[in-house]
Amino acid sequence: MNIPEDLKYTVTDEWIKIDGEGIASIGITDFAQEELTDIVYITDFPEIGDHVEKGSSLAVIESVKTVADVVSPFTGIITEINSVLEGKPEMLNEDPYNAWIIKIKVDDQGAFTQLLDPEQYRKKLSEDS
Amino acid sequence: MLIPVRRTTLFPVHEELDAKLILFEGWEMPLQYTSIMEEHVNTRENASLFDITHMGEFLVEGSQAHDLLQYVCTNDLSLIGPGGAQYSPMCNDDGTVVDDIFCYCYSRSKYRLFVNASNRQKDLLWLETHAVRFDNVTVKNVSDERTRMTLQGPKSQDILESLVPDNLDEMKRFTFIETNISGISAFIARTGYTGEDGFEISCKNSDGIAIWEYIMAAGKEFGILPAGLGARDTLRLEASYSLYGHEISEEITPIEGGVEFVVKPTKKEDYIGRKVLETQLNSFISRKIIAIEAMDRGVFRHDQDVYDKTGEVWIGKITSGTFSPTFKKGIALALVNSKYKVIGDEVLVRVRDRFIRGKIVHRPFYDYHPRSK
Repeated sequence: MNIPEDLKYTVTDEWIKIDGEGIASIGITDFAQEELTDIVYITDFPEIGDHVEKGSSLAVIESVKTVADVVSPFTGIITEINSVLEGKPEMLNEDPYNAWIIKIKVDDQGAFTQLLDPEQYRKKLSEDS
Repeated sequence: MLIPVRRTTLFPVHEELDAKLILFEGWEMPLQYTSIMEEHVNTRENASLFDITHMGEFLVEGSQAHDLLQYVCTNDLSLIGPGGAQYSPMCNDDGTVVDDIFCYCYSRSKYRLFVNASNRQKDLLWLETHAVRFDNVTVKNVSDERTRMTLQGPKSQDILESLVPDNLDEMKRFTFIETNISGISAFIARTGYTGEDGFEISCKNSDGIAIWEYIMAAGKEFGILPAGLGARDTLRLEASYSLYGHEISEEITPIEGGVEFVVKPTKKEDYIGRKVLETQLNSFISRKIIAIEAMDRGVFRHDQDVYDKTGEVWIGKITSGTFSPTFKKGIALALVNSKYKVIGDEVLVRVRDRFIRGKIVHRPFYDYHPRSK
């Protein structure tokens, strides 16, 4: 299971990369894409500029086998959406850590401290299985 | 109570291949080895080998074996002879389905049955209960002594014929042979659940892994891959084969479920459910299975609600849905008000908080694909 050291994680299997300006890129982890199996659609993005709440859905991922929401780890404003994924959803399977889904300008950067570091995420996965 | 997870004799093979495993009806089975999509496409183009040991296998023997099966099955076993295979529902008095099974006829006094994994115990009890009406018939559960696998895809014959002494050109669909695979005794039937040509195989547990390995080795030059339950489901849904508990169940009859062709009103013997089923065959039924393909980006799933094209009238539910790897769109079978059956008409399917448009299409989505010579 690939869990890069330079990223943060959530218990709902998203990865997060935070840049210097408090903007968080969000994607799904290698574990998540493996659980979903072949991803065929990504839909239901919010609009750029929308203010989203922590826990709300940022996108819906449909695979051959199942469907899952990308859960927002933060409250903040949507700054970018990776619309390339709409045409190439398989990128989420093939290269999950480069296939960022959405970027959020986070309201309160204190929220970053609640994320899991790679060690904690690895531990969470091993406890689940 | 903690129910122990069951593993098939082929489990070490799945582990070795690093399969992604799921629990299915109490069995730890491979969902996929690489990807559902890849395994699906490979089955359509080349051939795949599936572990189906979780299914049940019974021997029905005795001078009244034929009579018992004629009484519990809606299909007519007098239409097949020794070496023949037949698909049939077994129904309750009210016409709903106890299980759908395959019967393989050795003679009127010996049949082999393949039954659904989920219904092993129920079917055994059902058959034993009804066997009491007959003087000379026994039902033997051989499920746990035997290993089952299925080789499916247009290259199946090419692969298997190098391993068996038989001329497979002479082996028709819906027949079986008792033969050997590289010298190991095996039951081989030309049946399947994918819409492709293929063979279902059963052997002693102690021979299971060897036969799997022989077939995989012989299949190498033909592009064989192992395939899991994920592809098994997408393949059967494209071919529109019923899945017990979905299109047919203890609440749905074979007529409603779209397998009316295996209810035989011409059959001489009485059988359980006959009255209701023949009434349904000859009269209006209120609901029926239809095939729907998605017109929008979205995937239909089991249990979603189906509405008419205005979205005002609820007409039924999706019984099975998936993304079709062959047609690259959402496909589904749905049990709906039988008024809604016109090919090309639109329906709406409730997917979370909105409607996805569906079009009623010909069933099956994927026509049975015989081996090309």
